[in-house]
Amino acid sequence: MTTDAAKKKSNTKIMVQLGLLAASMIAFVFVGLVPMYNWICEVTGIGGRTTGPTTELITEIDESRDIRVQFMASAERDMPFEFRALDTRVQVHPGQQHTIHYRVTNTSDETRAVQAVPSLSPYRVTEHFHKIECFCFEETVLAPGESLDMPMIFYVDPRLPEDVSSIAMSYSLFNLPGYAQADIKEPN
Amino acid sequence: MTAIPHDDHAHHGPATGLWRWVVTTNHKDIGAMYLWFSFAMFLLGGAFAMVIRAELFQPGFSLVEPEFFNQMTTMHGLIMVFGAVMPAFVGLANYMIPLMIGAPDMALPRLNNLSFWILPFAFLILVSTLFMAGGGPNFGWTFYAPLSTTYGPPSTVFFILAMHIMGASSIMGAINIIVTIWNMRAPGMTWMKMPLFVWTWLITAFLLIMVMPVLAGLITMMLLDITAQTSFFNAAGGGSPLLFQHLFWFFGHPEVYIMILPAFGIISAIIPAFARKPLFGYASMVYATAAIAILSFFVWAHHMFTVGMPFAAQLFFMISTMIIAVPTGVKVFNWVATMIGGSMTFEVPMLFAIAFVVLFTIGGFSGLMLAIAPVDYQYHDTYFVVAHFHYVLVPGAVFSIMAGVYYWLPKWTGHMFHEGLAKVHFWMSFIGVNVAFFPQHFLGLAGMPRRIPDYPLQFANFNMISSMGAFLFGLSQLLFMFIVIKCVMGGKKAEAKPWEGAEGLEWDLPSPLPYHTFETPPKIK
Repeated sequence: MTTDAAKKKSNTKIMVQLGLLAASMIAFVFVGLVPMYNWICEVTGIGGRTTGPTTELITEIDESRDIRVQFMASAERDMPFEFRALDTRVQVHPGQQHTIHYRVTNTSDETRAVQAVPSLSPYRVTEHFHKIECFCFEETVLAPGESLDMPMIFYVDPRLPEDVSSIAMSYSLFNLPGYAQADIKEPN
Repeated sequence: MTAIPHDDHAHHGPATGLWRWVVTTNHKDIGAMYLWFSFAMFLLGGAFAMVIRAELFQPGFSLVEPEFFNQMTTMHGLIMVFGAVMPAFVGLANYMIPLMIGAPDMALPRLNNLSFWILPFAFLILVSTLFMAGGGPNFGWTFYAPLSTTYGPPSTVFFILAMHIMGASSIMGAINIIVTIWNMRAPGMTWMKMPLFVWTWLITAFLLIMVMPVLAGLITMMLLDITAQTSFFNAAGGGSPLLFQHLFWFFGHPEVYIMILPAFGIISAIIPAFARKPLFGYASMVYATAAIAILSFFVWAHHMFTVGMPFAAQLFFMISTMIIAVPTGVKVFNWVATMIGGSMTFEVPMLFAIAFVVLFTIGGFSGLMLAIAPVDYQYHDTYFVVAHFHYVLVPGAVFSIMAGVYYWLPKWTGHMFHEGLAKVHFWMSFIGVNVAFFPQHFLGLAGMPRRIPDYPLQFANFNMISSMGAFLFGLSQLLFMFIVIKCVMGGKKAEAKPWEGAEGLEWDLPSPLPYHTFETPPKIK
C-alpha cells in the first residue's frame, strides 16, 4: 500500500514534468522559433528581405561596371489599387545614387492604408543593395481616388559580387490588416 | 437483485450498458475504442479517397466540382493522418503496453479516458466543416498560409479548433504512455528487456510531446492572423509565408516518424514470432529508433527545397535526410536477418509484416530520391511525392496496424479469425495498394502535379489503373471489417498462445483477456 502511494505520487510528478515540457515547447514556438527565423532572415538576407535606410556613406563610384536593376510591382489579390513601377529598368554604376518612382492609386471609395513589402533577387545581393529613402519604410494612407508617386532612392554597393550583372527588385502591395475595419467602420 | 451490481463489482467485471464505455478507465476498453474509432475514420478517409480516385478515373470534370475535390484531398489527408493512423497506434499502445510490461493498467486511467473522448468531438467538428458555407478546408493537409489564412474558407477557424482538440488528445495520450512505461514496469522488466513495441512507443511519445505543441503554436498563429489581424504569415505586416512552412515542417517531419516508429515495433514483434527466432540485433533496433527520432528534428526543410533556400541549407538538409537511411537500413537488415535461417510460416500477420518490409523499403528508396535536392526540383509537388508517402503510410503504417490487429485479435477476442478470408484480405490489399500507388511514380516523373482534379490526356491510362487499384484496396477493407466483426462474434477458440513462436508477457495471459490483468506483477525471467 505504501509502495502504491509512493508510485501514485511519482506518476503525478512525471505527468507534471511532461506537461511542462509540452507547455515549454509551445512557448518555444513563440519566443524561440519565430524570432530565430526573423533573426536568421535579417542577418543572412535570405528571402531578399531588405531592412531600413542605410547608414553607410558612398565611398566611390565604380564606372567600369554596369548593373541592370529591374523593378516590378504586384498587388494583393482583389485589392482595389493600381500599383506599378514608373521606371521599370535602370542601368547604374555601383556607388551611384538613383531615384525611381512607383505610382499607387486607390481605386476604392474608402480611405485605406497600404504597405509595400520589398523582395530582392538574387537574395545574396541583399546586403549590397542600399536604400537611402523608400516608401516601403512606412505605411501609406490614401484617400479614395488618390494617386501618389512614391520615390525610392538607392545605390548599389561597389562590393557587389563580380558575377552579378542584374538585380530584380519586387514590391508587393498589401492592405494593412484591420485598417479599413478600424477606421472606416467605426461609426457603426 | 441489488446484490448483482455489488457482485459484479467484487469480480471487477465491466459495468453493463453503453454508459460503461463513456466512464471506463480500463486500458483494454479505451484501447478498443481507439481502434474502432480509428477504423471508422479509416473508412471515412477512405471514402474521400474513393471520391478522389473516381474523379481522376478519366480526364475531364466528370463527378465533382473542383472546389469539392480540393476539400476531399484535404480531408482525406487530415483524417487519415490524425484520425486513422495516429489513434490506431495509440489504441494498440493502450491495449498492449500494460500487458507487455506486466502493468495492471495505464498509469493515468482518467486522463486516458479524457484523451480518447475528446477525439470524436474533434473529428465531428472537422467533418462538419464540409457542410458549412464556403465548404471545409480546401488548402491541402499541410494548410500552408496564406492559402489557409487569407484565402481560406470561413470554416478554417473550426478546422483550427478541431486540430487543437486533437493535439491536446495526442499530448495527453503521449504523457500517459511515458508515465506508464517509466513507472509501471513489473519488477525485473529492465529497459533493455522491454519489447520493441514498448521502446518505439516510448520514443514516439517523446516526439509527440515535443512537436504537437509546435503544431498548437502554429495553428494559434493562424487563428490570430485570421481573427486578430496579426501578421505572423502575412507579408504586409512584416510576417512571412515561408515562416509557416518552416514551422509546419518542424512539426511535420517528426510527425511522419510518429506514424512509422510504432509500426517498426509491431513488425519487430511479429517477424520473430513467425520466424521462430529471437529478433536479430535488439539493442541496435533500440538505438536506431532513437537515432531516427533525434535526426527527425534536423531534416524538416527537405520538404521545401524549392522555396529558394541558400545552397548551404539545401546541402545540409539533403545530407541530414540521407543519414536517416542509415538507422532505417539497420532496421530493415535486422528484420531480414531475423528471417534468414528461421523456420518461417506464413500466417496472415506474417504476410502483412513481410509486405511491410518490402513495400516500406520501396517507399524509403523513393524518399531517398526525393532527398536529392537537385532532382527534387523535378519531383516536387508531383504524383511522385504522392506515391512516395503513400508507400510508406499505407503498406507501411497501415499494413503494420493490420498485422498487429491480426496478431493480437485472438488474444483480444478469444477467437481465431477466419484464416482463409484474412488471406483473401491480405492479397486484395497487397495487389490493390501496388496497383494504386506504383503507377503514380510514373505519373509524377512524367510531370503530373498533385492535388489537381483534372489532367492532360497523356496521364489517362496510368490514372485509370491507379483508380482501379484504389477501388480494389478500398473494397478489401470492407472485408477486413467483416473478418474482425466475425472474429469478435465467434469462431474457433483461441489458445492462450495461438502463435507457436510468439514471445512476450501478453501470451502468458488467457484468451480472451480477463477484464483485469497483472493485478499482481508477473515474475520476469
